Amino acid sequence: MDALTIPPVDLGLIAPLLVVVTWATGLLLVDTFFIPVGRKKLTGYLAIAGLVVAGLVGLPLWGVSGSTFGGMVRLDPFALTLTWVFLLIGILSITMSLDYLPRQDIEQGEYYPLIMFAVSGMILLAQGADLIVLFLGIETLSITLYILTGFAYPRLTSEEAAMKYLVLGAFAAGFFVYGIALIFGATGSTRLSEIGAYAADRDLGDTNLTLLLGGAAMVLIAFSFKAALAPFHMWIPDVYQGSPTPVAAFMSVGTKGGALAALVRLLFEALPTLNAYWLPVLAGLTALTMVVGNLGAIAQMDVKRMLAYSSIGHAGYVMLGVMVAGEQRGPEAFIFYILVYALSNLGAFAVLIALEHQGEEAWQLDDFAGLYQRQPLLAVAMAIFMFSLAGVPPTAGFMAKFYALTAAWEGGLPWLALVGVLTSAIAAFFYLRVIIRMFMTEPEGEPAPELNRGLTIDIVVAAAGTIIIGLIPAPIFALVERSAVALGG
Amino acid sequence: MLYPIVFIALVASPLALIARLPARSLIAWGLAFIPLTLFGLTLTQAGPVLAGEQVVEEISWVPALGLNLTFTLDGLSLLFALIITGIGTLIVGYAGHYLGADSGLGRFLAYLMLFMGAMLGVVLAGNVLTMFVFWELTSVTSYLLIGYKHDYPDARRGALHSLLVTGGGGLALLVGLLLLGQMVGSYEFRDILAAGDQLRAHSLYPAAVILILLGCFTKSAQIPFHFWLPGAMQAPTPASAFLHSATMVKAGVYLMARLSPALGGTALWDVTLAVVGGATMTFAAIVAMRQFDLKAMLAYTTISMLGALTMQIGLGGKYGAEGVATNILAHALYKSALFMLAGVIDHECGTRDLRRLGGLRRYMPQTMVITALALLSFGGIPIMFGFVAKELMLEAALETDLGATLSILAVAAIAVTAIAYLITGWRLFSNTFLGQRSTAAMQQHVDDPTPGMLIGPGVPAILSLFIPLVLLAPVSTLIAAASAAIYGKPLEVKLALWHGVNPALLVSLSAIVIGVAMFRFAEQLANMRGWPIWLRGDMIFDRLIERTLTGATALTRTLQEGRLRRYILITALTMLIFVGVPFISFGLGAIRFDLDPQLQFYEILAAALIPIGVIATIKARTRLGAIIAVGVVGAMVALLFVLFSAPDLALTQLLIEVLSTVFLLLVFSVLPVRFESFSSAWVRQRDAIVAIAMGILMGGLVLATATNDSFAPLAPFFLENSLDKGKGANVVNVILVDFRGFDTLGEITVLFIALLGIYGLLRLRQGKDDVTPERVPTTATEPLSEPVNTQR
Repeated sequence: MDALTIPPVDLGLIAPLLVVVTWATGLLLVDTFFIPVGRKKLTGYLAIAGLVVAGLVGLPLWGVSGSTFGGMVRLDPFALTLTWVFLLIGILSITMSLDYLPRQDIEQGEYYPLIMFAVSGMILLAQGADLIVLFLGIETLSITLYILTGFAYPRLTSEEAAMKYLVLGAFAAGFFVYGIALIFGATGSTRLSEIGAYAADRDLGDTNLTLLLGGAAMVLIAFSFKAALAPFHMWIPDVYQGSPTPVAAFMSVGTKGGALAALVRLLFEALPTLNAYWLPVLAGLTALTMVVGNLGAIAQMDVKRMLAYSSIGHAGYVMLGVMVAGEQRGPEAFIFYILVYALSNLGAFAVLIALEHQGEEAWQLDDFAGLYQRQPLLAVAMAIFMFSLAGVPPTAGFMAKFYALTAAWEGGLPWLALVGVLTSAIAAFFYLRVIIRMFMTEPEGEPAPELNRGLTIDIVVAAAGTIIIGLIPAPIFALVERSAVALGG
Repeated sequence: MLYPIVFIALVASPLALIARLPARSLIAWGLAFIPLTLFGLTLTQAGPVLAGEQVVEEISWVPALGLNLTFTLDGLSLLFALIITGIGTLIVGYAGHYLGADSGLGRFLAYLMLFMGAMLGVVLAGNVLTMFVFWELTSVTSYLLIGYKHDYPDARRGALHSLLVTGGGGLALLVGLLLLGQMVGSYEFRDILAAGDQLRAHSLYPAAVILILLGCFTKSAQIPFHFWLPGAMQAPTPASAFLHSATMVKAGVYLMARLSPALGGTALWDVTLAVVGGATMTFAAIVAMRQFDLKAMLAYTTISMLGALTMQIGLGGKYGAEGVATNILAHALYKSALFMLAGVIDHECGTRDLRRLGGLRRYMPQTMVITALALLSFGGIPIMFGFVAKELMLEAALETDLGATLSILAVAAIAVTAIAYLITGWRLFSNTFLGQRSTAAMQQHVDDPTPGMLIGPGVPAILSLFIPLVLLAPVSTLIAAASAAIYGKPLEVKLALWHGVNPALLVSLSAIVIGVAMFRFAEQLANMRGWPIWLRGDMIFDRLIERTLTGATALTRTLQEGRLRRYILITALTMLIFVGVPFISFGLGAIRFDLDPQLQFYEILAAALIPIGVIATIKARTRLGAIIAVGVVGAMVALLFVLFSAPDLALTQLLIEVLSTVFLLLVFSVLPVRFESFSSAWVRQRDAIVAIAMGILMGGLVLATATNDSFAPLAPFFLENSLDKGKGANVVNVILVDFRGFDTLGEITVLFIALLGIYGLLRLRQGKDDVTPERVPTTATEPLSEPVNTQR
């Protein structure tokens, strides 16, 4: 009998992921047994420390390319840069939660490890090179988010949001699994590269290719759901509005980043030869997403809901980069957009949190009235975020949008770039409306609570990042350029 | 040296915050040295530029996107840079007096400096994209200035308009500039300007021109986008004087002038500019004549002048270029003076309503003299700089290549505008300084302001007189350099007050005579009804916004109903299309219906009971009945598993069935007693169709996958090897502990972690027992099916 051989596993390639997961598990224990109720902030600090350590662990991996676990998990600069972006998202989200949770009286220690688990799901999505791993990543991310969405229990809207998200999410997950089954049935593999190689050898009309197409369609639907592409976007406004604000902030950038990172790999490793099929479909979805998201945002008087719709619109802009990821520009634009969007959007949500009193919702446009006169710095920061989201120079948002539109234009989708510009014009309307409220009207109602440290750090970091990347984007461009090389080949 | 010029203003802006300290007016004059230094720095670069060369500096910024920080100084840029820094110096000093009582002065000046830096960036940028970045930055910073203080009742509406119009225009401009870059293959101005013929022949030329003009027209308030400018006048007067007379609104004119050598020379460009500019000029001049608010009056004359500049770019030719350059300078001088004077009057009298002013000649003699000087230049009276400029404008109209009709129309328009200017100027002067003080204003003590406040308006007003008298030679060199950039070729320019008797002079003089003759009727004209109020762009714009809003709301309401079942329906439908289409178009391949020849009757029975159970669930009249029917479905599935020798699966299935039944029974007590369908018949039919289609598709897929035998199935491997290599007769067990041993290990670990989590939860509950969450008691009679969140 042959000796049992264990396939070689290079844990070094998943070091950041490993750090996040083990740290989170350990933290769960530490939190349960050692951290007293009422001092749960400590858990938050430890969680941040874990994410920072994970980021540092990744540093020596720069430039390394390789796969492990029998080719199911891959590390390349693309995944590593995204890992760092995701860690940053996690850190910023936790920072803004530190003050939010006790203020809303929902502080519980497991919140922070849950965010870490969600981040690990996102990292897995960036590193996954196999459908099963991608499913694992998606579910790790989603299941933690179902819980986090309902974290503001017993607030009814939070419970409702969690319920809706769970039902629809499970629906989408069902599609994903079914799609994997079909793809496996058609190609005999779940490895992205093997699927790609298989499809490249087949002609159209081949039954297996048809099955592959059907399976791919299901998987794409699942991804579209997670990334909130219209018409699978409907859960977004309800869920964002109901969930605790930091969670909504985290979701708005996290799920999008994770799901679309995986989509890039799926499209260009497994399905490049079928792009005549998925490109028109995804292009249509993207156009619809930009239109629906931005039109929907106009109608909102509730800023949190407005940001929810705007996040749908931005999913469309991110998709511009995703669809042309076969060209060098595509993945570059994708990473850059995610980073910039994360900074601006997390910043905007942090401002929302800063305006919330205990148990009160201060998300109406009128709550922003005269903010400039009361808290000028907060208003200026919010203005920076709004300008960035609207894509006005010299903020980073302009660079990102410009990058994405250029990528789409050069990648052979000029009409989609045009839709992007037109919808940006619509988008300017609702972002600027917030600014007008802040700068042009007299304050009404009670003044917002004092800014506390976590939020201040968050807002300052996000605002500074938005401006600095807008003014001196060259270093970030250099980073994303090098990250995208691996994928382009 | 160009970098420092742009960046000093941007970087030095926080310095202005010290002006929050007392002695603000003094500090402001100290701060005015910053723009003054920039003025000086610009002058040091002027030598080669006036000799017809260009100063170019370049740093690569984002090479990946073709974004270079190129800065170029040529005649046109020099003219603008000098105006921006020169007037900027005066404005900063003036603001110290105007807002001296306000502790926010420091902030205001900081924004002003930022704006100045942005504006310098626009005129010095040598790369279209760099220019665009600064262009948008002017919008953003101007917003901070407008928002600083607002005293108009509909300030918000005005501000919204200005932002939306210039913002939308900015996007159009961006696309236009990108198109230019695509056509030329470079985003550098020098490459674009050198590729004029290539551009004009390109198929994308019309699109690019239209988009760029949209950007310029919105920024420079041309009809039909003119409405935002008066609305934006709620900014503090120093800001209005700077932004809306001398700098920001001229950015559009600047860009058109800059690009005219490359894009001009076609009917599309020339005629559009001439017609739109001429119409704006005349219309706004007539509207200005009828205003009663000093600032509104000046706002409309500004629009009018922007129209005049646009028109001259369109008219083209040597005189057109000269006229543009000269008028830009003349206008910047007298209009900034007039705005600052309006601020002085407002500051001293507390009003700028012409009906409440009057008789100020006794109280504010110095102010009156300066105003008179500025107004004379504004009215184009001989020996003032405004006159020289107007003569060139008339020459441009007379000498244009655009044909006799347009030439005559342009001359007539200029004449009408000149008359309207005179009447406007007269009304402004006579209602403010002549006549009696109104009784309402008598209580207030009115005096000339401190001399420091009069330096601001005084310098440009006096320059309007001195330039034609003393400084004509150096100014001519500057104008020559500037107009050469607009014309595209070197030009010989000799400005003069007296060109001899020519048609331009005759038109000009007769306009003055008619204008002065109409002074007597000025007030009647202003009060007369039925004057043009058409072209209310703001109304159309408001309606447009409103329509878009209602449309968007309706759309969102339909899509975003707030109910889960609608979301699921749409998801299912889209899925049917996406997944169904490939199968319908390519077929499902060779599906075989392999019927097992030894099919037993109990197998058929079990299978048949499944659909029956499903139908019974739907049709059930009581909740208990429905639960039982669902149970039947589950049990039959489990039975099928048993029959096809998968006992472990059957066990799992049964366990799940039991559990879910228990759960259903547990929630029984809190569910409403009524058990009926809330949806209408057609909704149920629709849902049935979708469900059946979904079932067919999924069933077909299962069949297709199951009968697809391109690959060797995995099962035989396990069957063959489990006894041999795994030493176990139960294949399932061998798979679990042997073949997939690591998976099992992982599962056990996961279970352990979950256990820990549960333990943590339990501990937490114990600790929190004394703070039970407040819950709203739910009554059993209230159906909970309505979503809480019905907000759209």
